[in-house]
Amino acid sequence: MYRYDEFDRDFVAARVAQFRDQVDRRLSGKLDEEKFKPLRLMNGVYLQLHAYMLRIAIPYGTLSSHQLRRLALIARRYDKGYGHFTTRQNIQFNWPALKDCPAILEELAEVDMHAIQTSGNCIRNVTADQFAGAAADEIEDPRPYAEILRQWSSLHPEYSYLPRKFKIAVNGASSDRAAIRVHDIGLQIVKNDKGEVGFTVYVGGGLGRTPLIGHKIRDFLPKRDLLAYANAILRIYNLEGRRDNKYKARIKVLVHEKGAQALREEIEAEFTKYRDATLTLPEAEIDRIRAYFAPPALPGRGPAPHYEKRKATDPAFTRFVAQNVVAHKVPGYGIVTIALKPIGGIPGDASAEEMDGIANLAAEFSYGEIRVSHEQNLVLPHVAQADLPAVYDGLTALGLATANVGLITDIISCPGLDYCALATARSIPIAQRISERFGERALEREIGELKINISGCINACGHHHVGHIGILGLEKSGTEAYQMTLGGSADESCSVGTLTGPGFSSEEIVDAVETVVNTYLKLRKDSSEDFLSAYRRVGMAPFKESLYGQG
Amino acid sequence: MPKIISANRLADGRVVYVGRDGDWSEIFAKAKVFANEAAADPALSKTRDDVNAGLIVDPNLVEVVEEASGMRAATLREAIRAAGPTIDFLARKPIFDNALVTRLETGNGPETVAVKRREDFRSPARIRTPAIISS
Repeated sequence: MYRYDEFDRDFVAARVAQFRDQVDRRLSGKLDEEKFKPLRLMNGVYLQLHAYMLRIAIPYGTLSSHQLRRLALIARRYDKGYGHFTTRQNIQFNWPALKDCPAILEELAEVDMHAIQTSGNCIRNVTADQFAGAAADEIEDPRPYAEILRQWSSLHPEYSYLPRKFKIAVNGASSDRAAIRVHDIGLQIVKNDKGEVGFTVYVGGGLGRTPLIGHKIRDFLPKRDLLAYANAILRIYNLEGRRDNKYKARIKVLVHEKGAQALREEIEAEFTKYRDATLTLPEAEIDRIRAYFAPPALPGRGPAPHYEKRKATDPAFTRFVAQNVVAHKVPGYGIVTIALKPIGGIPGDASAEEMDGIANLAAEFSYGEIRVSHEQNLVLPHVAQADLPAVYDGLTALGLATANVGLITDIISCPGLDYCALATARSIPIAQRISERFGERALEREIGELKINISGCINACGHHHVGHIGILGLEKSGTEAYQMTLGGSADESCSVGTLTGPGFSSEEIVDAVETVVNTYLKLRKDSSEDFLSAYRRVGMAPFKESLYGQG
Repeated sequence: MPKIISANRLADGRVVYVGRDGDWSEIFAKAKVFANEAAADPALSKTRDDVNAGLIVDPNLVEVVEEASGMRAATLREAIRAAGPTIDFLARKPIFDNALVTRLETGNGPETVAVKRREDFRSPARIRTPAIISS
C-alpha cells in the first residue's frame, strides 16, 4: 500500500491546520458562510438535510486494517456509529458537527488519509478496480498509476477551479470493474503488439442528467506519457469547457458538442506540443510508486482439507464461495467480496463494529488489506482457500455473510432524500423493499446476475443509468415517483439504460421490478442467459408490454 | 399557505425552527406559524442577525399545513428534515462497553473483538412514512 512520505505528511498536516483555523474563524463569526462554504467543501464537508456530512477520500478504494479501524473510531466518537461507503469508493459520515471536523481530519491524517478532492470543481479522488493487484485477469495493477495521478492532481493550481468536477478511473484487467466508460477520463491498461504496457484512453463519459458513454480517443498511450496526456485533456477542457451553465459544464458535453474527432485532434496537438516537457514519467519513478503496491508474498498453502470438507457439508458456505469469492492471480487464494447488502439492509452502510470486525478479519486473513468497490461493497483481496471457512464464520458472526454479490439484492443506492439536500425522492427504502421481496429465496439465485442501481435524483449518484434495471426517484406533484430504465451496464460492454415508459409510484415500483424480472424469467433461453443478455437480445418491447399492457 | 422559519444550526448543522418564544428550537411542533409569506417575511429578515452572529445558516420559509391534529410539513422533504431519516440506520446505541471502546481507541484492545450479530443491535428494517400532505 502507498504510505505517506514526509512531503505527504507535511502537506496534509498543513491542510488540517489551515482548516482548523478556517472553522475557528467561521464559528467565531470572523468568516461568513459565503466565504466559508467553498473552503469547507474543499475539505469534504457538505451541509445536508439534517446535519453536516463529511466525505473522506479512499484513493482507488484501498484501505489498511489500521485505516478501517480509525474510520470505525471516527464513527463511534464523532458520528452515530456508522458510515456509508459510496459509489466513488469513498466513505461518508452523516452526522459530524462542524466544530469536530478538524479533529476528525487530524484523526485521518494520523493514518495517511484526508478529505481533499471529495468535493468541488477539481480532479476528484481517482478510482480503480477493487480487485487491483489480486485479479487473475489483470494485465497490470492500476493503482500505481492512480496514485501518480493523485499526487499530480492534488490541489493542482491550474485545475482547482475547473468548469465542473472531473473524475478519472483506471482499470487494469480485461473485465472493466471500474466503470471507466462513464468517467471524464477512463484509462484501460492494455498491452500492445510489442508487448509494451500502456493505456487506452476514453474521454467524455459521465452520468448525471446527461448520461453519455466515453469515446475512445487513443488506442495506446505509453506509460511515460500518462501525465502529459492527462494534462493535455485537462488543459483543453479547462479552456473550452462551458462555465456559463453548470449543467453543460462537464467535459462530456464538450465532447458531445464539438465531436470526439475534433477534440481528439486538439488534445493530440496539445500533447505533441508539450509531450517531452516536464511531465514525462521516468521509469524509475513509476517503479518507485509501484513498489508501494507490491503484492504480499503469498506462500503456497498446499491442500486445504478443511475447506474441501466444509464445501462438501455446508451448502450455505458453498453458496457463499460460489457467489462472493473469485479467483486470485495466485493459485490457492481467492478474493472475497463482503456484501454490505444484508437482506433489507441499507446498501453501503457499515457500523463501527462491522468495520472493526472486517479490519480484524483482514489483519488475520488478508494481509491487512481491504478494498472498497464502487458497488458499495468491501473486499478482502488476498485470502487463502484454506482460510475461507474462518473468514466465512467471522463474517457470519458480523451478519455480513450474505451470498448475494452480483445478484438482484446487491443493489447500488445513493443516500437519497433520507439524507441528501439535492435528492427529490428516497432511494434507500426502495432498495430495502426490493431486497426484502427477492432476498434469501431460491428465486434470487434462479434469477442470476442482475444489477439494480437506484438514484434519488437526476444527479445519478446511484448510477441508475448503468444498472441492468435502473431506478430514478423524482418528485411529481408533491409525491415520490420512480422512473425505470432497462439495459444499462457499467462494464466493458457499457450501455445507458432505456426508459421503460411512464413512472411508478412508491407503492408500485417494487411490483414493477418484479414484473420485469418475471418477464425475463419467461423469455430467457435458459438459465445461462442472464438478464442483460436477454434484454439485449429481445429489446424493450416484451418488458414494456408486461409493465403497461398493449395499449 | 402558512409558513414557519427553518435553518440549520451552524455548529452542528442540525435542523432548527424559529419557535413561538422567538428562540431557535429543534422541535418542529414548537415552530411559530405565520399565516403566509408576507406575514413571515419580517421575522425571516430578522434571522439575518442570527446568521451574522454565527448561530445558524440558510434560513428559509417552510410550507406547513395546519390541521385539527396539529401542524404538518407540506412536503416530504420538510417532513424528513423535521423527523429525521425514514429508515433505521445502524447501531444507534453503543454496543461495546465503554472500557472496551477506550482500549480499542488507544490501540490496547484485543486483536479480535467479540462482536454481536447485526440482528442483536438492529431492529428489522422499518420504513416510516412521515405524515405529509400528498395532494
